[in-house]
Amino acid sequence: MTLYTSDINKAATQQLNKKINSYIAFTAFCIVFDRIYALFSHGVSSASMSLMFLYPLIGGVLLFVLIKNLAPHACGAKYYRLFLNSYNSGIITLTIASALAGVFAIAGTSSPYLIYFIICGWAMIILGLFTLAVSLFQF
Amino acid sequence: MSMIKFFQKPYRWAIIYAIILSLSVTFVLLNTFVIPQAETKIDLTSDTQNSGNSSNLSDQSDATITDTSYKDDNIQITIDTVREYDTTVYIADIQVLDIKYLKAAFASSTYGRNIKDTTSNIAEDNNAILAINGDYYGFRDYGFVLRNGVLYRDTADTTGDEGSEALVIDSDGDFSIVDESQTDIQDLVDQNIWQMFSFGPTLINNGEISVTASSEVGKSMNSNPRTAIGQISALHYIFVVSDGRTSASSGLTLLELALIMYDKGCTLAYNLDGGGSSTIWFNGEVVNNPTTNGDTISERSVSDIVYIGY
Repeated sequence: MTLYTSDINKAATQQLNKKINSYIAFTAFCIVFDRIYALFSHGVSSASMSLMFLYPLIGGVLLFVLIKNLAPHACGAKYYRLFLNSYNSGIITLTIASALAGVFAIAGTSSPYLIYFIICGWAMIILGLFTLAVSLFQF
Repeated sequence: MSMIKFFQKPYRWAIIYAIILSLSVTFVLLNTFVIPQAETKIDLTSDTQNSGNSSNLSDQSDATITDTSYKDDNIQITIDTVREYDTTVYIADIQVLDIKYLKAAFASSTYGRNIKDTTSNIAEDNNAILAINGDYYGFRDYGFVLRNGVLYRDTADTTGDEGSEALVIDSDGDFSIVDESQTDIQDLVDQNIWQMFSFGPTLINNGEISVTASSEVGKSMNSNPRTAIGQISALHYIFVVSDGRTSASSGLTLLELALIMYDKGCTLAYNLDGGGSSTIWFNGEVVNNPTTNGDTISERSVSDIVYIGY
């Protein structure tokens, strides 16, 4: 069987659409989670929790829309899976860190461990983007 | 490279990382909210440091006790229940002969994070006459903790909002407010401070109300159950606790709380931990209707109390 360029692009588009839809769903989940949590927090709110949806929205939806439109061939790159693993892990880690910061702020407390989530999250995002860049150059 | 190949298979990394992340989140939540962590006091001894020992004070004797009052040679307490701002408010008027009768106590007599008990249990453990919940120091890693003349935490609250204001009770029994971020704790220890509470905000200072209609703890804008402590004159204080979050009582804003204390003649008043923590206990009974988990009437466990006793 011969795979043509159009077939590869179609498969890449489908794969990226799936990823974009996943991040849209995750963004919606973050917004709903914030609203539900607000119902039980006696009117106390936290910017960290209210804005946590920006991580999957900007870091997820926006990035994969850009890849889909500018470099769909990245999906076939050698280290694309590694990029996905690292980058997605970074986004979920930062989103959870933001949610935890919100929970602690609403409760009026703090945790010395939160910073490790943030460091770990950004490190994986940077590693992921680096891997993506390498993949694009090697393609 | 074999490791890279292993993780290049779909979902392997996702599953492993999800497990690691779940465990990490669980640990952080347990560490923050559940796991008791006893700590030790800070050793900043001053020449005139209070020992917290009340052996020089006379014992409770010939006390006259009713449902709403207590009186003996050293302590006089009267509790009024009033309705203000669609809320039931409990006001304890207290006069003591010595500031050493205004004490603080920790849950399980242990300083640390997540070491908690109900106000009534802590009060009973310390043979209190009257008690209210304190500043719930154990829920935070910052904010000076100095109780009964002993320094337990020297980490200033530098969050920059009203929480940076700490209430200081000196060895003469006079209240004052300090900005923790601008305070050298060693100076306070050297001044022989008796109590220090870190919550806020300050409700009244120098006889002037210092909160507005928009003031709140954190970002809450609701009326809430409240706990506050104020000074009227030398060795004359009031504890104020309000109900809230129930159909019978909506709760107070900080301004309403300040107005009530202002009307009672307070020259300085300070807000302590409120919400579900707000509890006033007198002579073996919880006086107010503390709420836990919303509108359930039950006592919340807290890390500390302020009490009147021997």
